[in-house]
Amino acid sequence: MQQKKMALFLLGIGLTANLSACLGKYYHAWPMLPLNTGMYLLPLCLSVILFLTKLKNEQWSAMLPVLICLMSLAALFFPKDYYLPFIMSKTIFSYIFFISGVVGRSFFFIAALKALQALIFDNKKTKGDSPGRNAGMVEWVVWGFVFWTISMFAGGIWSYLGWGSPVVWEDPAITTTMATWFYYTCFLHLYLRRVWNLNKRLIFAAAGGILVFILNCYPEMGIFRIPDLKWLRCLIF
Amino acid sequence: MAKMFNFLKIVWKLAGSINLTIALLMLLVFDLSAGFICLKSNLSIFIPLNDVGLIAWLDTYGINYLQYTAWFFLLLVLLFLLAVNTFVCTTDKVVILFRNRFYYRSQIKFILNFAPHIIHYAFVVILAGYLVSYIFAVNLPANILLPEKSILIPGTGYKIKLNKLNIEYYKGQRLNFFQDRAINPEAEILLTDANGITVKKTISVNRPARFKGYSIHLEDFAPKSRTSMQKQKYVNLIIHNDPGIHLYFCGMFLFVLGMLMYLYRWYRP
Repeated sequence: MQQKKMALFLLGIGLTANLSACLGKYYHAWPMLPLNTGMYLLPLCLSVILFLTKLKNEQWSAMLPVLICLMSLAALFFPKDYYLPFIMSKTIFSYIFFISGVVGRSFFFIAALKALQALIFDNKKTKGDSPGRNAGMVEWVVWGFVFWTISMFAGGIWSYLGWGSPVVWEDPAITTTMATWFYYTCFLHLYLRRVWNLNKRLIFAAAGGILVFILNCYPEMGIFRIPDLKWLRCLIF
Repeated sequence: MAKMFNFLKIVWKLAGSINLTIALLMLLVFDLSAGFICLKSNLSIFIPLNDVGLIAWLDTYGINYLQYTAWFFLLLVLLFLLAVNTFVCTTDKVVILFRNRFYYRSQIKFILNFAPHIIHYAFVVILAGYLVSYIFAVNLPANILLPEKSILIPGTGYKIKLNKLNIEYYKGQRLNFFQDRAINPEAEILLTDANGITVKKTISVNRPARFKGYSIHLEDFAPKSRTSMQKQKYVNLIIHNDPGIHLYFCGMFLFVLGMLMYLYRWYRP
């Protein structure tokens, strides 16, 4: 119990630090959009989900905190946020595009973890197509899909307002965004039409997490850099 | 005749098969992932796609750089097949739903059952919108306007003139890197149609103006900074006539509507 409280306390501190860093980035870019901050917002979003669901006593395996730690380390050591914001991003649609995308991505990760959890741990308890095994995971995918779609549509509107066309072939990320959307469209069809058995669907959802990382997180990461800890040195000495 | 009918029935059934849907969606994922690699290293091949339109692009860049653009050709084929598959499958389901309408006690439940079908049709409408855009849209990039000078919109009798360019420069402490740089450019343009009737419009970044079916977007402007060497004021406009955009936005609206209906059905007590 003591350990759990301590873990929640430390998570709360990390969450506050990440939140203040993200708010700082937005403060220093508003009304424009701070670029390439998705990798910072992602662990924040995952932590908020973990924190809120923990308050509701939802059981998570250690995988989610581990994922949050890995994402935070990736954001810390592979930063790509050194580009200055540009005035084309000065619209509400760019914000909807960006934030919905991060929320959607987080939900897909959670769904992948839930699927992995069902594959590894729940297999011991229940076998076969018992509906309870994937109930939680599907909901996360549905909401992830909703946010991802909103993000794509907002991106389309932004692109039309700024460049005159809803699809502009100036950013390769357009293909990975579409690939992710089609992947989860495929998952929803597999789930709703019961095309594959539950185990295969769970593997598909778990593989989705790897796909989301490769297609949507990896391109947002920069080269390896040791973080500048000048402020920390000033603080200590 | 009966043979022909049976053959068409088989084709229709195959075209709407769920296995085909899954196969197409997975192929799209692989194709788009391959597209990312090709696009990342050869962006300059794909950028003109928006300027010259699909047919001209396929005929030039598409054919000549096939090693980098093959995925795009495959994408078009896969999207076409997916649109056909979606249409056939959804139409089958809608027909069944209509046939069974008398079994529904609640009108709302019956309507809510259309949610996935609305989403599917909306997807087809969005794809149709893209296709119409890429084939029939007229895109006129790089229209440089100097103050008090007018130019003709090519292919029309319409004139466009830059009346005023107001650039607001950032002055503050919060955005240090943006000091004295343009934060809010506003161009006042005069648009004259073939009958000589002139209207005044204001455009800005992400705030286009519409005129006789054309949309006019601010792509670039100068001077961008109060201290820059470039003192000559100008704006660079993208002029676009896109008949597919309404279809695209209509599809988008339908998709969101279908999604909301679906979520309502999902969480309905």
